[in-house]
Amino acid sequence: MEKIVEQLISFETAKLAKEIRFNIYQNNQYSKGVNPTTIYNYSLEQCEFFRDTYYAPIQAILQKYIREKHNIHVFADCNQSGWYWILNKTNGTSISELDDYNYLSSYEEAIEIGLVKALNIIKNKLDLL
Amino acid sequence: MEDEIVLPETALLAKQLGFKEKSFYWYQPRFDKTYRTYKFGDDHLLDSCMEDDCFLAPTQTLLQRYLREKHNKFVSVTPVLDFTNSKCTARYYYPTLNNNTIDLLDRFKTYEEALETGLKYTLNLLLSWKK
Repeated sequence: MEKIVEQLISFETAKLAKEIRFNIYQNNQYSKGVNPTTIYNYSLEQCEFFRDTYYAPIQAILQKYIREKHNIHVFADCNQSGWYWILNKTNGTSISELDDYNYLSSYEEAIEIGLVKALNIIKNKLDLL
Repeated sequence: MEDEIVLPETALLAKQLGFKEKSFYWYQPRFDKTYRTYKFGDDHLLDSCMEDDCFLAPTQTLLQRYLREKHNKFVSVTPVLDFTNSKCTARYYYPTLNNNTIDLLDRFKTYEEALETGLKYTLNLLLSWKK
């Protein structure tokens, strides 16, 4: 039977995370190479040397980073139609949720989209500064 | 920044429920009724000594996913507006269960505290149904 493991963020999400300066060393990384979905396990020194690496944290770590550094709580919920993502400020006020009624088939997919939405909000804010 | 490992009490409940997923840590009880945390692979001799009274120490996220996928129970933490101190504070609350929302109106200072309580509550609920 397949074991349950924690979900890593996708390559595209990892690229966005780097753009908002997520720079906490992770054991897993993506690289811009031939196959960007390959996971590498470079050391911190190697990551600093190969500048085209992108940290690939599990979704929960990026959620935590966004929550603690940028006060945005990314989470998912479900109803009879499927899973959907929600973004709240950490004081409980709503930012946005499921704008297109595209329900997802899994919690992980919903969280991934929520993370991308949150990263884009942060990126736009940083670009304005 | 790391994913939080569940507390020993929670991990023990997970063991009773049959949790055997891939975890990177395990707990060993000590004579003074506290627990020592070991990381798998740090010392293979210790790993092989993992006896019956030892148990896996999953991260909160892994246990959350296990409950969701194996037991169809979704533990969720949501920030709420809290005006008790006449200002908004970031606090979190309760687990919700698929098709059966249970609002525990406790308030917590951190996401991790709330999630731990939600996980523990759900494990106890499942164990009580098992009996």
